[in-house]
Formats: sequence, C-alpha cells, structure tokens
Amino acid sequence: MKFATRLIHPGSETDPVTGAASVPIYLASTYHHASLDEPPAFDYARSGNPTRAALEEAAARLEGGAAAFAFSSGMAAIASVLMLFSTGDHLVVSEDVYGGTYRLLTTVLARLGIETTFVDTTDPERVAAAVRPNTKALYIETPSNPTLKITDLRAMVAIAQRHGLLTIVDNTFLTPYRQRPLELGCDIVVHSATKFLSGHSDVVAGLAIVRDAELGRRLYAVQNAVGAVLGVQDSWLLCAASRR
Amino acid sequence: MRVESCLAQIGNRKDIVTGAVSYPVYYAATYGHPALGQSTGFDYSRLANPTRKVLEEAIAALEGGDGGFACASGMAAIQTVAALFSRGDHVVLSHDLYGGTYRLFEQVLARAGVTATYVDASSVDAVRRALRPNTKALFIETPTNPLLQVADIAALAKVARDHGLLLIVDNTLMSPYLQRPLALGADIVVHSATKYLGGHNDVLAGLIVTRGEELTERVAFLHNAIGAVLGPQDSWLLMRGMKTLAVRLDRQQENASRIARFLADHPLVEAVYFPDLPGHPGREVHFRQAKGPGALLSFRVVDPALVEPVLRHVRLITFAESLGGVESLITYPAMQTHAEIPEAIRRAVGVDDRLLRLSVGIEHADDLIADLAQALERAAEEVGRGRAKVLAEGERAGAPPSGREAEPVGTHPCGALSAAVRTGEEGTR
Repeated sequence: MKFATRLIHPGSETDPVTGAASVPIYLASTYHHASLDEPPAFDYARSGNPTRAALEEAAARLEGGAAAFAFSSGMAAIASVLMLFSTGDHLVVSEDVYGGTYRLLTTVLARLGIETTFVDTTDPERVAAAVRPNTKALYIETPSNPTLKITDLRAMVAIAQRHGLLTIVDNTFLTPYRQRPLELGCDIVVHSATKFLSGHSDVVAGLAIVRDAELGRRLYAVQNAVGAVLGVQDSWLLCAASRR
Repeated sequence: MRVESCLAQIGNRKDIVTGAVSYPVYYAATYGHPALGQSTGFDYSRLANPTRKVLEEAIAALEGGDGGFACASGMAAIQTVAALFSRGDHVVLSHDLYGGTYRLFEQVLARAGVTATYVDASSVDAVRRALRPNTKALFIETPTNPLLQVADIAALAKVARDHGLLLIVDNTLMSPYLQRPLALGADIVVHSATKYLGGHNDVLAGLIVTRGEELTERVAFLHNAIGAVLGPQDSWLLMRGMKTLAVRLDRQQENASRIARFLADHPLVEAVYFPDLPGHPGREVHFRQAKGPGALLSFRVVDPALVEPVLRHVRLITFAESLGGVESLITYPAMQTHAEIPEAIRRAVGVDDRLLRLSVGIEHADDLIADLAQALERAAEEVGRGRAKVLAEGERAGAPPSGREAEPVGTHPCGALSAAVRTGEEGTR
C-alpha cells in the first residue's frame, strides 16, 4: 500500500458499532467487567484507551514497527524510552541533540546513574570509539537540530549490532513520510508529534515506535507504570492531523 | 472565601479579553514572541499552557500551596515527584498503598537505584524505625486505599522536619475539600485527579501541589523536563468537574455512611472499613485532620466464593476499576487495583481474597443498598447450590467444583427509569 493511502486508512479507523469513519473520542477512565473471568479489552484509561489505541496502531503501521505508544509530549516519549535503562548503563548520543533531551540526560538521568557520552554521530568511527562495556544504546537525531547534520543510520545499526546495543532515532524532523529508521534496522523511533506529524501547532504529543514485539512489551510496561500517556482529545487530533 | 465558593468559581472571568465564565481551551502548541527577549508568559505548551495554568493555579490555591502542576495521569504526577530522588536515595511509604505506586517504585525506580521501605504509617514509631541515613522522603496515603488506614499527617510532618525529609501525601481519597495536608506540614500533595477531583470517570489526570519556593522551582523544572503534562482539553474537563466537587462529595459521603452501616449489619459481611464507623481504629486522628469520611469503603465477605457472583450480580453498581466518580463502582483489589503487590505483602496488610472495594457515587442510597442486598443474596444462593451440587457430584464422580450457574448477567436497571418516573413510582423518598 502506498504511504498516502496508509495515512488515510491507518487500520482501525472505522468504528465497528456505528461504522463512523473517524474513531470516537472515548473519554471513559474505566470500563465495565462483565465478570471476574471476562475482563474488558480496555480496563483503565492509563493502561489502554480505544482512541489512543487507534493512534498507536496508525503510528506503528506508518513507521513499520511492531507497536507504538503515545505520550503526553515528545519529552514524555523520550523520558519513557530512557526509563528502559538502569543505573550503571551508558548511552552514546548525538552531540547536537535537542536541548530538552540533553537537559533530561544531564540532569534527571545522570542523577539516577545513567551515563551519557555526546559524540559527533556523523562519524561512525567516533561512535564506535565511544562504546564502553556498559553501553546499552545509541541515540541519534538525523538530520540534527538545528544544524541539520546527517548521521548514517545503517552504519549506526552495524555498530549497534556488533556490540548488542539498541539504536534509538528521533525522527521528528522527517516523519515516516520521508525516513523510516526501523526499516533500516533501528530499534526505536521517537517523535515530538507536536511538530510535522500533527502539523498545525495545536497539539503537544509524543510517540515511540518499536521494531519488535518484545521491546514493545518492555516499553508498554514503562508507559503503564510511569503513566505519561497522551489524552484522548489530543490522540484524536493527532489521528485527524495525519489524515488532513 | 470558603472552599465551596473557590471550587465553583474556577476559571470564571479569568479570560480578561472576553470575560467568559468558562475559561477557553487553548490548543496552541506554541506562542508568538512580541520581540526578541520578550514573552507573553507563554512560549511552548509543554512549559506552560493558559488553560492548564488556570487549573494549576486553582489546585495550588485549594491545597494552600505555592505551585500547582497538572500531569497526564496520577502516576505521571507521582513519577514527576519521584524524579526529585537520585541514585542511592531511600523512601519510606505506607504499606497499604495504591498498586501503581508500588509498581513504580519496585519496577522502575528500583532499577534507577532508588530504594523503598513499606511500613504501617498509622504508627509513627514504625515510620521512625524505617528511617535510614539515606532516607529522603515519606510518601503516605491517608486514609489508605483500600483499607482506609489513617496516618497522622501532623505527627509525620514533625518526623520529616526532625530528619530533614520531604513529606509527600497522596490526597486522592480526600481532595482538598476534606483534607489539606500542606496546612498540616506536608511538603507535597499529589492527586490522581481522575478520581474525586474529575468526578465523572471521564478524564485521566494527575496533580501536584508544592509548598515553598525552592521545592516549587525544582518540581517545575522536572515537570517541564520530563514533559508528562496534561493536555488542554483534559485540563478544561477537570476544572469543569472540580466546580461541583463539594456537592458531589457531600452526597457521596452521605451515601457511603448509610451503605457502611448496612454492610456492617449484613450477615454475609465480616468487616467494613470506613472512617466514619464507630470502632474504626483511625477515626479520631482522621476527624482531627479531615472534615469528612470520604466515600470509599471496603468490606470483607465471609466466604471467598461469594466474591465472583457478587461482582456478576450487581446491576446498578458497575464492576470496574477506579473510584471517585458520580457512578458507583465496585472492585476486587486483590485481582485488580492491587494485583501488582506481591501476595504475601497484600495478605499481611489485609488485602485478601475476600475483600471488595466500593466507590460510592451520587445515585440514591436506597437503590445502591437494594442492589448490594440482591447481589449478596443471589451470590449466597449460588454458593449454597454450588456447594450442594459439588458435594453430590463429587461423591459420585470426583467432578471439579463449579459454582457458576448458566444465568444471564444482570442488565442495567435504569432502562425502566422513565416509565417509573412517569407513574410517580420513583419519588419523594
């Protein structure tokens, strides 16, 4: 299916009960259980919401991932992805990464014992040289913000595979319309969906999309535990924006 | 001004341009700068959004704090506050605790080197004994969820002051209408605003209120850096709910008190946990620091086999997680809200396989009591029949026990409401 068609028909956009062509805005915070043995598909809005699920399904399809997760801002998406790491872990990050990501890494994450080395990721040799025994991931922005430097994602994936690292790409600038890092072998894509994905300067949102289902289960556990989820009205706006 | 008036007036005439009584929903992600180095006060909506700001100012005023922060969920609020801690820090928490908070500490923060000890916070001595040189904070719920254990906020504030700790109170069950922990010496209040503050089971939200300028600045930094902020539509919806908090809670508490007494007298109920009942262990402390019992109660049935059919037979009351809304909800904490807590800890605290939790709404108390009465009665009949059948069949063929009858699940009773109203059947009671 062509990308433009995938944008307009992301999957679950038709309401099965009414046939409505736009997913309803489900405001319910909780759902009825018919009995102890029959839990509903959605039981509590932090853990899952039909409107947010429609957005997450669409995002997974557009980036070509196994699962996607919607967050209350781009930084909430990035913070939740970074909570996959633990005290003693080390990350190699593009040196001109977005200021908000830099701030999070050097303050909150540093205090929790998660270390970062910032390198010029346009040079794969410098990236390889920065890898340590406790390195767990490469975190890349390409093109970078604001100097638009280009990192070779395939070269990053090769380094990551050699050392058993995750490759995380902030794809905010290009969106899956112009770049699909998961298809190049990267593991996680993050977005400030506030930017090109929503495109109308009217919604603050973040997305994280993962390549494989196991990583999806781990990130879901963080999303549910930390709870920095995207609201339903915002989820709907973002769904609508990618089709407008 | 009294809290009822402050609640009703949230957002009114805050929009100076139009004088709108209901504050607008600002959907802008970003804001124009008048010139280089100038700002309208709003630059980017993660940092500050006009609609969210009205909500944040309202909750700060209601709780009597210096800063208010709205988050994407109650857990996002707790996680944002927990980001104050660093690797090597230790926190003492109430042992009867919302399962989500326990999960955050054990599954996420533990990996980041932040450790936790869970104690009976109704005992100041137990809290004091749990302190270590690296303890940085006390995190308590009072009354607790689901067992309504009461902690003395002022006494714990003194412990916190003596040892240079932060006292963080999850005030979800009371709301600032009933209890204001900052006035009793707490440093931070957190809320799952999804519950009483929102009040309509239609918005997921969390709130933080801080006391003191330095702490307020630190939390503001984390709120922006982590970015787990509440969206503008949800902020508006929450304010709309908060306007009626006082009237809702008045009715909910009245209903809850009547239901607690009904359950306490019921032969199939072994224990009822509700701060307003005579003999509730924390009653005196509770009414010293809160002006009402709240509207959440838990009860223990005499037989675990009753639980499943009671949940299936309630008709007006909805079997669903969560609490605090106008619709009454019943939950089974051991399998739902507190499933994240290991069984040994749950059982030691009292969250066992016979405990049910009821969040009382604003329906008519008589209807709620009638619904519980019929559900308990039908459950008892089924359990009795099931037992007899198992005994008979078991003796013959060693068949597995089966307490379930092929019986349609109770339909929602309000379908017949309009006819009842027309005939005057529903009425003046």
